[in-house]
Amino acid sequence: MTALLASSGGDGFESPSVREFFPKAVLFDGTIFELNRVRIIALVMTVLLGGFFVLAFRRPKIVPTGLQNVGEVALDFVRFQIVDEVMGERGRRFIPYITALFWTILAFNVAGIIPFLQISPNSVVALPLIFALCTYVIFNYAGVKAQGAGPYLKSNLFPPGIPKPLYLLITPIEFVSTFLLRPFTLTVRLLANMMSGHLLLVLFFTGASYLLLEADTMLKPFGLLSAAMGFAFTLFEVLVAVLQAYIFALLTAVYLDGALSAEH
Amino acid sequence: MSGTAQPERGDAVVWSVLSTLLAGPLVWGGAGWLVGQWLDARWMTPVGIVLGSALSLYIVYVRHGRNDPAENPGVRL
Repeated sequence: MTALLASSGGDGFESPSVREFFPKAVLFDGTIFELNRVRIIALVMTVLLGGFFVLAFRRPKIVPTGLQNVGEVALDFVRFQIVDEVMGERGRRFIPYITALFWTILAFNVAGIIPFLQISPNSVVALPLIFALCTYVIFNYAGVKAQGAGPYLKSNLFPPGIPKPLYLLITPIEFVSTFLLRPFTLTVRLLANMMSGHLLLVLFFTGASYLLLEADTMLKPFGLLSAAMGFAFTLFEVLVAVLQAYIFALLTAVYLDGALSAEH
Repeated sequence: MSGTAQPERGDAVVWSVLSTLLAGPLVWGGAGWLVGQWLDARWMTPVGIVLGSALSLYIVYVRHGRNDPAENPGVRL
């Protein structure tokens, strides 16, 4: 295979790398407002999402029609499937945050498979990190406010019902798990899914284009296979986009629920 | 286990135990590595990792796995 590729002439195949995620600046190069393709996509998706909700609820009616129907389904999904499911009645206050979180992350994820955008802003660490830090600050604040700082720490660091000496071993784990790893795992789960999805799609489609257009005749069938795989993974990415947004919102609800209730 | 009327949903909790499962081996594996460097005992790292994993599983069991109907009425999923 390698020999065939080498003998096919041309410049050879260039596989996708981490450079994919850091394209050249388009505007304001060198300033803190530097705009590149990925940042612009984030802005475009934000405007589209905001625009959709503004249009849907511009003139809300008791009996919704048209776009308002879609908007209400969008809001109800988060409210009933995530917030009510995990937190029940007392989750009401957090519906706006969790709804905004879910739909923003989903919009950013889906950008990865929208033609001409084709990269998710969540595949660069900044955005997943910001979302995770927001959740981190909110669940800790809600916990301290609901229980008081002392009881909140106690319920997190000293799970009840275990022999006293074991706390020596358990408490460091609980501290690292709740206060250090939670934001980290939230960030990395979303980031890694979006990065790997993008790399896979780039690999299959650039591979298909190279094999079909530049490589030896013998290799052309592999080009078709590569294109087919690219198509299959595009469908798979739809699933990943929804699932990752759902998990992020769900975990936010779970963390908030845990912070509000004193473990007994 | 949250002490509310709302029973904890199993599927939601599954996603939240990941950080606990990572923290155990990380903390005690790290401690084992540090002590191992100090006492020149390389075997402390794997021992720490195994101990930490066991403790992590224990925490998950304590927090989510105890299924005592008397103490915890309501549907468990």
